[in-house]
Amino acid sequence: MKRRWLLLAVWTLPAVILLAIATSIYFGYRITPPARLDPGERARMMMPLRTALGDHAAEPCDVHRPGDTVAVTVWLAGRTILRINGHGSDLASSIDDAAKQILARPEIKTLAANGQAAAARIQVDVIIGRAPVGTNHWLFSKLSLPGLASLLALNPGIDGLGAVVEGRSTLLLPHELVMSKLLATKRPSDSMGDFALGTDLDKISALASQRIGMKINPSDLYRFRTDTFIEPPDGHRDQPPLALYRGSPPAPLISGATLREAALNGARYLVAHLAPSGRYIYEHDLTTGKKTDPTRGAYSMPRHGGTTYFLAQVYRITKAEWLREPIERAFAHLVDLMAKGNCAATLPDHTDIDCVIDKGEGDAGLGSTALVVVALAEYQRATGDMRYLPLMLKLASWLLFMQRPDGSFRHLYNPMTKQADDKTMLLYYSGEASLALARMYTITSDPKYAQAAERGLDWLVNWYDFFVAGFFFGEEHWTCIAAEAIWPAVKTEKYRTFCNNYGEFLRGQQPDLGEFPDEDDLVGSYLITPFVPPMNTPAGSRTEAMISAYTLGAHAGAPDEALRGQITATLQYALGQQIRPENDFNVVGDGNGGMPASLLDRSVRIDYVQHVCSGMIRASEWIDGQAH
Amino acid sequence: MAKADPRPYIYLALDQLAVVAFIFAIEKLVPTWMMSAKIHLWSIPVGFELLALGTATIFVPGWRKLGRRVAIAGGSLLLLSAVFVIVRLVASAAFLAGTYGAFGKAAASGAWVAVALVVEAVALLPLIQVKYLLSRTGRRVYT
Repeated sequence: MKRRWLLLAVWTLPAVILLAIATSIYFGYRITPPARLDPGERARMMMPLRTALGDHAAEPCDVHRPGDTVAVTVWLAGRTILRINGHGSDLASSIDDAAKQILARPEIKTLAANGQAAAARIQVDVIIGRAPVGTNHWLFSKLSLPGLASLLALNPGIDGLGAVVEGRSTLLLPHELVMSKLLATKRPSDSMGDFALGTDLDKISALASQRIGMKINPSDLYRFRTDTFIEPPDGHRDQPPLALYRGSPPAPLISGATLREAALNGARYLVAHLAPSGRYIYEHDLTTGKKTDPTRGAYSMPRHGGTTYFLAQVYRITKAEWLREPIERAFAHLVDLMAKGNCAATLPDHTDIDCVIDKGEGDAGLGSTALVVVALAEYQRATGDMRYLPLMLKLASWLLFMQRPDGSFRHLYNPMTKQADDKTMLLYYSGEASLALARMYTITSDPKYAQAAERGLDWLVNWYDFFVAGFFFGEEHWTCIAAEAIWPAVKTEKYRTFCNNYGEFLRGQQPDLGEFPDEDDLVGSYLITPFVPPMNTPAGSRTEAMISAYTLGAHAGAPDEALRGQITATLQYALGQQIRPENDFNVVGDGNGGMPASLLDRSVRIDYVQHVCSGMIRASEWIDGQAH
Repeated sequence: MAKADPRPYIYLALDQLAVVAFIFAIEKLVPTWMMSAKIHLWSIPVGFELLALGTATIFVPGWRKLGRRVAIAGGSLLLLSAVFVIVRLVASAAFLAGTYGAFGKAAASGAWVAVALVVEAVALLPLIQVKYLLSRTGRRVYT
């Protein structure tokens, strides 16, 4: 009997202990969100604050729901001009406290006097729950895996951090943590220089210390979650305040018209960020308004080409005349660079070649020339204007010169020595070159381009012909775009199967609604785990590839409907990410139409807009139609 | 004459190999700045070294009885260490699920792989060896 009990204990006790540990820690950290405030409650809470912002005494709030703290932020032209916390026994009294504090602030007089009160937008964060952060939990502090609790301390954009020290309290709201750029800066170790994904709790504590004027340690911090809402833009205040989740209001619903408008807005953003020289303002930090200088600093020629390709694509589809001059300006800059690039040469068979190389670059990259060819070909397709054809022929001849007999490409070329580098391989370039050759076939009908594109694609697709490669894919978006671009000159089942399989692989990274309860706003994005916020550019580039894969299927009379769902989900996600009047309250400068890098990285680079909006404009042509 | 049991010699070789492998892994592959993690990680080569030393008393007849006990202690330390790694993995998964609302398929698969590797790399050898040392044959060899 004793032995039986002993055996039972041996088999069950460890499991019970593990379960008890897991349960205690899970519920220790979980903040279960209550039902969100409804539109009427949001409006009634906003009213006293708006009245106070107009420098008038407000009627008391009547939303008597549980809650003891609200944080109020007033935005003007993308910057915070006022930030206060209201406290009370319920939400109504907390709002009344906040309204009273607003009235007492001298900034309000200036705002009203300058007639800016209407343009300002009020954001309210209702604190709905609190929990420990990092290792501030008695049991988890003993059992945590090294570094994990501080690296992945909070759900970015949803969790805020607060502290109470000697009776004084401070709140760092979720959006304030995002703007602090301290949520993805901590490295697991100094040896992992590029692997910064963790929350820097030490620096956040220092930030909180500055606010409160007292020393705050990471052990003093706690997490909190909010029910957040913001006033609509001026002119739309007849609508209730917009509920925010991770700083974003609800996205526009996907349709052909919405996608077309969003793509045009992306194009407008890029045109507004094109300097008179024809060079783009490469990056725009939406939080600070700081933009890169188009005359110097980091730049990417492949991205210049890709971005101009997108503008030409929008022009081809929409015929929006305002696009033509900026596209030609961007081309003129390329012509200028090529004249100075020293790449022009004549091959022994008397073929003229030329390539694109940026100022200061030692080697010409295959991708720069390839995407410039793609852009020029798209322009010719859109306008019928053949003025760039001689230039394209030289550039395409260089691409053919860079191709090896087995279909692979050499990726770098030294214009001074006229030697190609046979060793270096760079991401994307082979797919980009294959697409360029496919597009050259489209505009010239010369079979040598179709054959070269096919050899390039065969090499890319056949690379996966080994056991382990059956379990993963690299970044193959250009491959699938090229595979569709060369149809019908090259009709092969192999490309369609490859791209459908790529789509299936990517769908494994797309969360379903409800799969990650706190992250339904990320449905449609490509998410590896709930702990790493998704980047927006892959959402765009992969959608471009999936549209090509879907189209390839349609050409064959058997479109993969799973791809259609995948494309729709991603574009719905992307519509929510794009900067538009509803969500530009925290954008400094002309950011409308821009596509930020991610929910955490609020900078817009030209290629982020290019990839996402290219997917949008292409899908806008068929998304409203019936599934095949 | 009965043939000598070869297992102590095989276990001794494997234990010593594990010591070298784990010291290399800790020093070169998984550097950590956290003292508690260092102690935990170093408990593995220390446990294997105890196991090896105890097993090595097969060469010193007078010390075999004590050696067997040392080996069992080393093996038990390793098993405890492996269990503690698994507890830490489960606790971390619960923390992440609580903070992020879910753990996710990819992370769950990763955690399963981690647990499987811990069992295979840390727990398997001491488990078999301790079982042998507790068996009648093991006792007889170490008398």
